[in-house]
Amino acid sequence: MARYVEILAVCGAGFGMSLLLRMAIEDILADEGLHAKVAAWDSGTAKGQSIDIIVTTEDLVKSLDGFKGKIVSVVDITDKKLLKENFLPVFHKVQKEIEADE
Amino acid sequence: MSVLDVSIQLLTTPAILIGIFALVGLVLQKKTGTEVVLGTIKTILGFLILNIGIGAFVGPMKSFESLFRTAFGAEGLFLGDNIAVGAMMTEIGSQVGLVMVLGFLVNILVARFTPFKWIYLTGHKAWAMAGGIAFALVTLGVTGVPLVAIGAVILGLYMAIQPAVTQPYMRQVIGGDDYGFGHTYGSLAWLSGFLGKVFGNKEHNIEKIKLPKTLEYFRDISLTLSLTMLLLFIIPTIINPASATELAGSQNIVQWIVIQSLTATAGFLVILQGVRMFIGELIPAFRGIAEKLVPGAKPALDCPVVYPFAPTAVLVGFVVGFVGWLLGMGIAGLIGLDYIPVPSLMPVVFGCTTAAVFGNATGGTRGTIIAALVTGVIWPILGSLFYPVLPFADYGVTGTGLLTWDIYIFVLLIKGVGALFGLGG
Repeated sequence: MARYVEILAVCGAGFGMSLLLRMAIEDILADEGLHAKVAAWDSGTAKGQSIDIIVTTEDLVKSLDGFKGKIVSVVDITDKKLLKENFLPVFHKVQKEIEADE
Repeated sequence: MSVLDVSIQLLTTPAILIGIFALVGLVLQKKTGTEVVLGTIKTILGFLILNIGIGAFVGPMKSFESLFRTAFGAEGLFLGDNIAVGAMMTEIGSQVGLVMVLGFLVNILVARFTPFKWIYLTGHKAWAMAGGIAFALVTLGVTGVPLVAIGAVILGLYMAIQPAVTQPYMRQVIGGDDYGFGHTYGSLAWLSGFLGKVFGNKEHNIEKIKLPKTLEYFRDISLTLSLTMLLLFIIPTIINPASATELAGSQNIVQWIVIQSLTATAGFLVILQGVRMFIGELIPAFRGIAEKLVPGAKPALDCPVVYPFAPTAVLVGFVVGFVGWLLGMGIAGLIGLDYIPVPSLMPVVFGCTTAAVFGNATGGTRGTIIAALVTGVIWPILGSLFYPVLPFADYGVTGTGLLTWDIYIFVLLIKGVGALFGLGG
């Protein structure tokens, strides 16, 4: 059985915004009946983790230079529709890659 | 030991009390058995991790206090809500926990039955404000049920109404009313929007300016915090090397400075992790309940929600705010204040940047700079003047205090009203 996709919600300090991002992603996954591991950290700690997808706010993208996985960024945290449109294709692609590896 | 005794002991252990709230919240969200157990354990762990962080942080900071005192002849303060309230949790943790959770309920009630539809989702600031309110009430001699009742009502009203106060400026930042600003930087954001409106020029948006890419690194708080801590140790040492050598004992100075400053950084990061974990289970529960019970509810969100709208303002706010803070420290020293707050991470990286974004929204480039500068300059002075209001030292907590202005305002209001009733010494 393929491992879960690992998603990290990232923000400045690791609690306010990333928690909101984490909830938004969990909502989207639940709506689609998908499962994944979602955690929340600050940008400094994020770089040291092995994760598939980082979800963060637009202003932090530049500071995540060097991250090897996929980055999905938002400007308006409450625009669920746009986040879904940006996130789901990336999620499905990563999931296929994981299944192909196993 | 009777069941009642055991229950009381459990409820007065803050870690377990908060765990119980998380459990109730998870069950109300109809989570699976595994999710309920995991979520509850994570919440309790978060608390315990917070304590470990405070423990690691305190040692080096005591050395810092010593260094600062011998170099500058005043008490250096490293202000931070997470640290100050975190350190008080062993004493008043249960009261804080109860005020916070019942405060959420009051927020929901106010949103349900009044035109203030804001639901405050910034958990760690609700916790910090609960801490300030609880501590203020304790100093008035109020305890038990009256403390929790009064505290929860004050907190719940604050949570529902603060976002309304900032909304006139917030809607200019985000271009709409889909969500609001929920943070104890409320007064700071309002002042910044006001300064921008009065002194700035909205037409010259700062986002038109390009800045060097290296500035982006400050968004990495492990890095910024490490550098800050190193500077906080190095500068007093340069002024008074003898004091540092004495504190270092058998270690050489360089080794001592590096280990002390980075241990403080490590402790701080652990504190953040602890807060992250226990807030992480409470806020989704709160949000879930609010959505069900309050039609037309609008979320009031944490300060970084505004950063994507003006990333250049964020960078400028950091630099200008930092410089402003140093100026403020200088002024505090010149007028002979006993306590000098140093530029701890949160106010410069999160507070001055927020000021900058609001200043830009109402006043363009000029607004950004004025807002960030004023914020940076007055903050250490305000922090210094406010510090003696709450007796942290009586509880063995030294060298730190509350940071955010909204908490200052409410603590002073509570103490003021209490004085009218003849309470508090």
